[in-house]
Order: sequence, then C-alpha cells, then structure tokens
Amino acid sequence: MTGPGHSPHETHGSRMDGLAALRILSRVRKDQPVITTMSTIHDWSVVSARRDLDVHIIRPMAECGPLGIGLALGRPDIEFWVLDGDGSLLMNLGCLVTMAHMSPPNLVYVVYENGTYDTTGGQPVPGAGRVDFPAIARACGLRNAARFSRLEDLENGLDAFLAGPRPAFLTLGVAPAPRRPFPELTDTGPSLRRLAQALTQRRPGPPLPPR
Amino acid sequence: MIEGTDALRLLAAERRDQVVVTHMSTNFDWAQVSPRPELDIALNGAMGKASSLGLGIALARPDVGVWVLDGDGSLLMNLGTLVTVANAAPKNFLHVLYENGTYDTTGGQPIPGHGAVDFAQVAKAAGYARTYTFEAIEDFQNRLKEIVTGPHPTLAVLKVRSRERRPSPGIPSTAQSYARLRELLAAPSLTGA
Repeated sequence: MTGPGHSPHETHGSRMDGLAALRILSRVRKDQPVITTMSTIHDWSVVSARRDLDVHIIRPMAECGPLGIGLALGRPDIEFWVLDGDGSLLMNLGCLVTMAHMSPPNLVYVVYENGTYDTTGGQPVPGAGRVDFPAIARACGLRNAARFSRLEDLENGLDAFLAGPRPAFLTLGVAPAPRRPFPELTDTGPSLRRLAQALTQRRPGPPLPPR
Repeated sequence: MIEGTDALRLLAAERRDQVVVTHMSTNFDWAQVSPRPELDIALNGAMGKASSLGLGIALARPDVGVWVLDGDGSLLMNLGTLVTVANAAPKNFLHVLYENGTYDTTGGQPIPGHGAVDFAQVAKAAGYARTYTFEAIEDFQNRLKEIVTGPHPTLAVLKVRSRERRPSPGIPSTAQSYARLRELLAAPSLTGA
C-alpha cells in the first residue's frame, strides 16, 4: 500500500521510461511553475510545454525541494511542482519533514527515481532499489505518497493521486539513462529571474485551500 | 514517556567494550552513567554527524561494536544518514535515538515535525535490519538484550522527556577523544563486542 493509484505489483526496484513518464505529467500541467534539477532539467525540457515557467537548479544540488517549499509558502495562491532526483533528495532527506511540518497545500513533489547519479556518469545512489521513498515520506508525515513504475499505472492513477491531500509526494521509478547535456537556457540564475518576473506579473489571489 | 537517564543506565549495564558515540544531550546524560568513559567519544561541533562518525568507526573496525546515541534534532539535520548506514549494512552498528522532541541544548525549542515523524519507520524504509520505538522503560528493558545483539544495523527510538539545558558534561573534547580512542582501538586487549 503506498497510496491512491498505487499498483499492487509495485516493488521499489521496478522502472519505466523516464521521458514517457514525464510526458504523462506534462499533459496535466497547466501554468504551474516547475522546479527541475540534474537529470530532470534535461528530460523535462524535452516534454515541457511551458519552458518559460521552468526553473533549473544545477547548483546547489539537493536544494530544489527547499526552494519549492519556499516558493509555495511565498505564493500560496499558486501551485508549484518540484521534480527532484533520488540522489539529490538523499542529500537533503530532512526536507521531507520540513515540507510535512509546513504543509503547503500548493506543492506537488515528484522524485525521479532512476537509482543513479546520471549527470555525473551513472554511479549508483546508496540504497538504490531498496529504499522505499513513499514509505519514508509517509513516516515523515506526508499523507499522500505514491510510487509508479509502470506507464499504464501512472496513466490510470495520476488523476486520483493529484486529487488527494497536499503536499503530495510522488515517486516515479524510471530507468537510468546515459549522461545527457543540459539544454540551452538552463542556467540557474536566469531561470530564477525569469520565474520571478512571471510571478510578479500574476496578481496575488486568495491562498489555495488546505486539502 | 521515558526518563532518558534511566534508559541510558540500563544500556550502560549491557555495555562491554563497545565504542559509544554521544551527541548533544546524550553527551551529558551518558557521561553520568557510562562505565567505560575511555571508550566514549562525545561529538561536538558537527551537529547531525554522530551516526556518520559512528559508521566510519564501525566500517573500519568490524570487530568492534559501535553504539551511537543520537538526538532527534540532530538526526533531522542528516536524515539521509539512515540510507547511508542501511546501504553499508554494518553488522556492529547500534543506533539509539533519544527522541525528546526539542533542541534541549539550545534552550528547548521544538523540533520540526515532532509527533508527526516516525523515525523507526523512516529507518525501516531506508533498510535498517531492525527498528524499535519505546515509550515505556519496561518495554525497553524487556527487549534490551535483542537490541544489543542485533542483527544490525538497528535503530532503537526512545521517547524521552525533554529536560532543561544541561551544564557542560566536563568530559574530554571531541579532538582529545580521537587520539585516545585511536590508541585504545590499536591495542590488542580490545577484542570487540
């Protein structure tokens, strides 16, 4: 049992194609700012329909979660998505407790679990295939935590998962891929400034309700 | 809720020649009950890293038992250590978590997520061989032998009462302890747990 939409066939180690999984996610993305890091910088840029609202955290590694929490708290009227990596999250695992503690209802946290440090050459992350990220998230106090590693399960279960409590924690079990180049326009600073400008232009509305 | 020093006294009675790494609140509390202070090392100045130091000793000396007496506020600063420890899977590593819900050494501020975080479940999901949570001293006492024996790595969470800030424990600094411990570990008389 790892939450709504969770497949009974799920095991920690199973993997789907990452790009195809992100394509499913991008179909339900509207105008949420998306914070990407490491492998998801490249892969999300391939499928994203709103690259103007994407942020790329190259340095500091492992801080895209805290950035997402800060943005969500600072603009409670806007939903934010974080696309973290498993290697990055392991460097800052305590941020799950911070997230549960602050409990922003406008944050969706996705872990792209490929089991490797793809951007540095594919070294395995500690505990790859054995660490149960949704179980850790639940133990940290996040009620809505799920893992998908089959495209058809993700396709069928994503809506129900996203309709659940927030902050929501989603793990995508994806296959590792060879090191890929960062796309153009991915510097952290310019992407943050671009987002700041876009957010300034959105008139603040009422906070999204707790759920 | 457990009185922390009561639990540590029980633990101390089971202690043979394990190296014990203490941290923050347990620096003081363990110093009150430790039967072998020469094998203790109190970690100061690197908050959150007691388990990382203990893991290093455990890996370098697999014949020696290592106990880490960690705090909940400290562990939260280095939560990924649970995955590192589980991944290394040292058979000689006992991790005791002193969960008082507060940063006692800095004046009793509440830690984030207190009451909502289940540390034993986090450790289990990370891959620890055994995990326990104790709220009553009797339960801890009843399971103490198996906690010490393993299989390790083990995390034993003790829900202990928050206390006033303690005075300086009056024990050697971390730097002083390194040299002493290194010498003792090199001696043939220390056979391990």
